[in-house]
Amino acid sequence: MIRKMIRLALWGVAGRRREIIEELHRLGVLHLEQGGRRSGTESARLNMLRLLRGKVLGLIESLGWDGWTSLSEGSIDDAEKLLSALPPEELAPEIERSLEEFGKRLSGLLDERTAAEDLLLRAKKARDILDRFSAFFRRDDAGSPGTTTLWLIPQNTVQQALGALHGAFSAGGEAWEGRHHFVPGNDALGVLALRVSPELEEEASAILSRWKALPWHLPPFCSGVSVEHSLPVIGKKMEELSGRIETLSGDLRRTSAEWGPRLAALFLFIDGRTEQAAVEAGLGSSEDTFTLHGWLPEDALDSTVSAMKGRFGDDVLLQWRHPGEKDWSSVPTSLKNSPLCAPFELFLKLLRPPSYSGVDPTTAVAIFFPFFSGCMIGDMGYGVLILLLSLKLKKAVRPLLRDIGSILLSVSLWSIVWGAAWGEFFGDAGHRLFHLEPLWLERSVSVLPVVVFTIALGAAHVFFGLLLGIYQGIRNRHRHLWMEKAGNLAVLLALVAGLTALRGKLPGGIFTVPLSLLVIGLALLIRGGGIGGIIETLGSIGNIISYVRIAAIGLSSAILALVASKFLDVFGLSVFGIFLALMIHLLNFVLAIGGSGLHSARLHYVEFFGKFYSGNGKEYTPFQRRSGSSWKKHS
Amino acid sequence: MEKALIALAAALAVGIPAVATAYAQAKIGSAGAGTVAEKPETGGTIIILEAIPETMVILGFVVAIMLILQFA
Repeated sequence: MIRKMIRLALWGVAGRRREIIEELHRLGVLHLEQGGRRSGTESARLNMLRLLRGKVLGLIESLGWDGWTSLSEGSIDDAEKLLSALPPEELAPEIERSLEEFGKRLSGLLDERTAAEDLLLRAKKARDILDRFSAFFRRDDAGSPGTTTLWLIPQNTVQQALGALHGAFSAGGEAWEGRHHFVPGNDALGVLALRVSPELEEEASAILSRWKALPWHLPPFCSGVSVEHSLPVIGKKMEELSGRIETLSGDLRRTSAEWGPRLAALFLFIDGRTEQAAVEAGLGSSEDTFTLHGWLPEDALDSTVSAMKGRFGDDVLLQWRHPGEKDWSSVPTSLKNSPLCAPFELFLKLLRPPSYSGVDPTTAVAIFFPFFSGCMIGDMGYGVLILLLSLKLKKAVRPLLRDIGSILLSVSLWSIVWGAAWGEFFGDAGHRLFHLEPLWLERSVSVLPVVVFTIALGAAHVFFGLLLGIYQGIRNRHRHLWMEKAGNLAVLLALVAGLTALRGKLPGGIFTVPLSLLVIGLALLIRGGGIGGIIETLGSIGNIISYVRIAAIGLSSAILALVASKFLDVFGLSVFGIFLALMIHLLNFVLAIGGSGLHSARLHYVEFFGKFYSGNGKEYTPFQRRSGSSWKKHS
Repeated sequence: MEKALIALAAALAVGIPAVATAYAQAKIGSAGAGTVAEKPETGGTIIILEAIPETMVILGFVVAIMLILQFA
């Protein structure tokens, strides 16, 4: 249900402005309506806090820490107490000094690790190149004179360059004694190893340079080592660097584990102060007083008023009132549902919230979603597995996973109920092993009754949506809206009654009832929505037929489970047969959870919500400390 | 022969909308992937949009069931 909201106006003494705002932030119930005026000094403070917040976030990112969901409220409170004890004027400089010192230490570690990683990468590349010339180097170890150099050279010029070398050094009829070996690379370049006598080295370099060759150098830690003898040096250095990187990574992990939560608590503290400063900067104020307006839930009014009066006495004046019809568009929407239904609010988080004067469909979703999903899965065995999964998820740390666990729990219970109705336990395994019989019918055989049932289910669901639309239209005094929905409902009822009468299920004498309903419905439709209203009705018929998907997906799930059993028939109780059957059941189970959830959600979003849900509300965002990972969305 | 034709008609009733659905889902999927890359929070909405064209197959399924039950 949508909580009743109260508009609160607060007048406070200017001297206690910061304290009052801090208290409102601590109470965390007021959705503020802010003005936009900001003085120069207030903006400077705000900017400084934002800068600090950015620095802390930068350090957290550098640490690679992401344990926001495991951050305890206690550690945040401790940080707040510790930092609140500092005088306000010393707070920011003190934090900045500490951050700078920590930042230097951290960047020292990070820089050293990056440098070591770069060097290791370079050493690996050098080793890979030198490995390909190891045979060439071994021949030189045998004692031939000269020095070896390596060159990066375009593959298309290497032959000309070698030709030029031969031409230059074979003069006088003597063959050139130098040696070379070329290894093509993955791109247009290759590596040429060249061994010439020391006196020819300079000239060889000049020739190769003319053919666009570049000298290849060993990594800096190999200075003084010849190319031929560098491989062992590189190998040793790589071991050393790997060890160093491991040590540094260990240090960083420890630093992250130790300092991550502290920095996160500091971030949340500064974030809170920044939010407070932003509110303070936007307040309407005179020299002596300031004013502030906002919305809060009616059930939080008494505690808020007593807390404010208790702390500030006559320094604050509070006035409140219920919103009038004119305010409805600006009132934020806050939902409050029973613990059983609250997890299903998750479905509304994908949409804009309902308007304050609208209808909260959470309870309806909590009833119909598991019912539809369970009907599609319809297998006691799968239901038990989903039940176990849901119990595991309900113990999770993240609230989102706990909510999903609660939703799956409802789905699992309905799956077991529908499994009993269809007589399914891992397909027909229940029937084979325990002689399980369906309480209602076997859906893989009796398709038509299930199809008719799902259409009836769809009609009931869509009619309910239309009734909610009529209620919303009357409540908001939208005549066109309720007339269109009522006309739509009347025409659909007329069609249902007419079809029933034609099938002989109703006495022919009452055929005038659907006829009258049709006439009234069409009149209301044209009055409410014009020609568009008639098209809307045609769409509603399509919406009702769309519920056949419950039967279709259920049928495919049942048949897939039967296929798993067939594998056992074909291969017998062999390892292969059991393995294949389990694989098919696993596939079916995943499809059952995914498909049933997706299609049930779709039936709600498109078919059901389309009849009444407007989704033009404002989200209720109370002025409070952010926690967990919610900063990621807003920072 | 008649039964084979009915079976073929039922298969076409599901098959043709299935191809159309696949085409629509391919278009929505590629656009959706881009959207999710830009705004990860739209993931849920995209999944729902992706499921919308499946109505065509559902209607095809109804027609196929009716064909089989009426004529086979």
